[in-house]
Amino acid sequence: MTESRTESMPMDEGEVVKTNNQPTENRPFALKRWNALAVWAWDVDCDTCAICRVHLMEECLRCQSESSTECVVVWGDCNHSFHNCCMSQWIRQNNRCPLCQKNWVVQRIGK
Amino acid sequence: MYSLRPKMVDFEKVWLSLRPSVLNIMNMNPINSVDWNNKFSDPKKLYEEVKRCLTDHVQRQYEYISSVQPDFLLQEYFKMWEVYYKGTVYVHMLFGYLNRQFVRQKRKTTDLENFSQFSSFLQPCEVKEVGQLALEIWREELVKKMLDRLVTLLLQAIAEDRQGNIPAISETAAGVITSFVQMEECDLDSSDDTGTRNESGVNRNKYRETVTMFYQKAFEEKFLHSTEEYYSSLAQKMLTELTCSAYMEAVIQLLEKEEKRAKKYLHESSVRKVIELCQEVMIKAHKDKLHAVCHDLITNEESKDLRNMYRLLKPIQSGLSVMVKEFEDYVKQRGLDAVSRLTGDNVPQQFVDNVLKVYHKYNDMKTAVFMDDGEFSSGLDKALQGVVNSKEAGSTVPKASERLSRYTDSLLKKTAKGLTEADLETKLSNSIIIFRYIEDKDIFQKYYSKMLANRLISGSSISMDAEEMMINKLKNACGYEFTSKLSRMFTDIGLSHELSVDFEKHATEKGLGINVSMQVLILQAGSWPLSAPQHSSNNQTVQEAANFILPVPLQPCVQEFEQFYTTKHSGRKLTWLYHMSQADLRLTYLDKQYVITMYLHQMGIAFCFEICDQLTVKEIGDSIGLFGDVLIKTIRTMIDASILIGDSQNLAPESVVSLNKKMTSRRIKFRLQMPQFTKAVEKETETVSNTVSQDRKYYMECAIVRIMKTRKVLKHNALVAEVMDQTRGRFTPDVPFIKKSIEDLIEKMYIQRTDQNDEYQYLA
Repeated sequence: MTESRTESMPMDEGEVVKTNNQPTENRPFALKRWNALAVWAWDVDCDTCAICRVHLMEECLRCQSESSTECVVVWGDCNHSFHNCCMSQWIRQNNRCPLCQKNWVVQRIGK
Repeated sequence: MYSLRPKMVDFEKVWLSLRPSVLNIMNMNPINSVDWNNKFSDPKKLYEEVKRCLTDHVQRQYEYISSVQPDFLLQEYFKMWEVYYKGTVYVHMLFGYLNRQFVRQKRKTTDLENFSQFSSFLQPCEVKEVGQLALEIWREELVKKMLDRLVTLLLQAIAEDRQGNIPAISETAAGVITSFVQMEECDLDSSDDTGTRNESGVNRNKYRETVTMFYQKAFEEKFLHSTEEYYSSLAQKMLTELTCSAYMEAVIQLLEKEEKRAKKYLHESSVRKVIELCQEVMIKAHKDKLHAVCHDLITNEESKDLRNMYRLLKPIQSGLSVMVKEFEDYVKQRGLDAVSRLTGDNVPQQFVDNVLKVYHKYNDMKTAVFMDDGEFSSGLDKALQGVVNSKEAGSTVPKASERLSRYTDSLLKKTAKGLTEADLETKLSNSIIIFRYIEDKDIFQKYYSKMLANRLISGSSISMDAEEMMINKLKNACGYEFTSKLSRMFTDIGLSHELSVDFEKHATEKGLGINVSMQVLILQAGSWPLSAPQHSSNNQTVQEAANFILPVPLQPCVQEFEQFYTTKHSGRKLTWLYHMSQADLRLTYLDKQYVITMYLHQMGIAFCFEICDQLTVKEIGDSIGLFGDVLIKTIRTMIDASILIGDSQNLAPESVVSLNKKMTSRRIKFRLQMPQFTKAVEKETETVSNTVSQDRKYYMECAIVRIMKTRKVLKHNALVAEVMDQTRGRFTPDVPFIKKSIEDLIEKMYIQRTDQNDEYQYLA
């Protein structure tokens, strides 16, 4: 990693040595710091919102056109998932899951 | 006692006393105004007598002037007219009562103000207000009889003026010409109260349009004719004697002078006509000759002549088109020369510099020579578009997108040579100039997002402010949608930094015993041009690395972090990209304490040598969960850096690899290269063009569905035109591609053909 970042990190080698179980001299490699890289995605079975047909990782059509705040995903008890905004529109007309027709009960809302 | 009854008036008697006064006034002799009032009783008769009196007077004037020598004719006429005109104004005022009571009343019966449109069908009333009557008499009884003589003299005077001998009588001539307009004046009551003005406003406007009618017929026509003759033959003569550039200069001067002259002699309505006529005979008639030298002037960049030519051709209808085309072709040629056959290590930089050089040069020329004319601006734009989007021989796609993104990458990378903030901004703004000319902006976006991702992930951006500035510039140039993913990437980095800080605080508070400093980047799937390792992926490289076993010291970090992350967010799952994660490792077994930045795969391999100094390739692979090409290439990078030593040049699963305990390096800190897979080398261009064509397909289908959804039924050509319009901001589709997309949508039952030829219908 770049030098400036190394300097900005609060932890220095001394601490690494202290917290290691084995004495340093026995270990050929001392890990100073690392950058972990991960991608997050909604934990869903189907990538696409069945209501607006947009990928769940993208904002729903309404949010895209308004470039509004975050557009999250909602899961029902049936484990089907949609954009939360799409679903809240949907249940005004029909309180059933558009995919399985079971009564719609919110299991959790993404954050 | 006063009687209220009107007193009977003996008209003959009154008129006899009135008549000399009228004549006195018309000659501008002083009169006694005391006996002027209370003298009118029979308006009709009075009107007739006034008319007769004026006619007599004018006829006598004519008799006098007929005998004047031609040399003095204009002067004499003008003197007489000045007197007559003033007299007319006064007489008109004297007869104010008659005008109001008799003339206007009579007029009202025929000229219905409330039916102003209908009134145009009515005969103009033969009764006029006294002022107009006087002017009409002058015109009919005097001017018309000697018009030809007057006009000839006037034209002579102007002809002499054109020769440069400004005649002594120039003011008189101008006055005489003005008199042709004045004698149709109907607004003699201008000093009247505003009441009557409003009342007859409609009429006034109607008269005003015709006010120059006599002037036009009597003088202007002939004048224009002689002007045309004069300048056509002058132009012919000049063309044979002068070079084109001298001719243009001469014409500009002639036009300027003629305009001044026209303003001096003529009624204002004629000035434009004269100038247009001159332009017609001196420029338009010979514009082919100008166009013929245009090419050479532009190629030699003769600013002065070009500016003259621009000034001359600008007012001619569609006169500039040839010039603009020449300019466009020339700039394009210069641009193509500047960007073709670029070689060396810094082609992107050269490309950008050269395009900008051409742009700035000819943009300046456009401003200085062509007065920022819109036609030239679009010519310049077209030329540069052609240059920027030109393809090199043997390549199917223009290189501009790639080059420009590489150029901006070099600006925004930390390694960039100490630019000041202002310099950096200028350079970024300049790259936007080129960006605007790129036709396939989606390809640029792909390259740019890849390079942005690299900068952000490796933390090698020169500054986050600069990154944000560039994203904003792109947003301004191409809209929110274009940069939404770039912005998202930028935001992810900020959020990740906060998250890392929070996590570290959390770890310290809870005493989690995380013994490694950890910086986390959590990226939103779909916004980043990254592929996560997946078991099902058919990409071999990804498969070989999919089961990578995280080095033991890092495992608690990841577990703790995932727990921490679920307290902050819910419904998300994290996929770790170990192959792209980097770590700083200190080697403690050497004479110096080297610190090496390496990827986790490399680190995993290094950790295998904690307990023993020698392993086979297969043993390494088994303990870290890598195999195949990925394993071998990764080991290779460490052998190349002389951390490890291999027993043979070509590593096989049985090859033995050992730790190099005598490694030396000039630098105490360095980084290992990422293993290069053959795929990865060509990958960049290839995947870019693959993902681009997928995206385009999707974008195109969306556009068609959107259009059809609103239009319901549309003809093929209209649909194609609208599609072209909608996609222009992103890329320029060709018609076969649009057709193909339409076919696909028919197959997918989004639209269908109607029974009409070439027509489609939207299916809900």
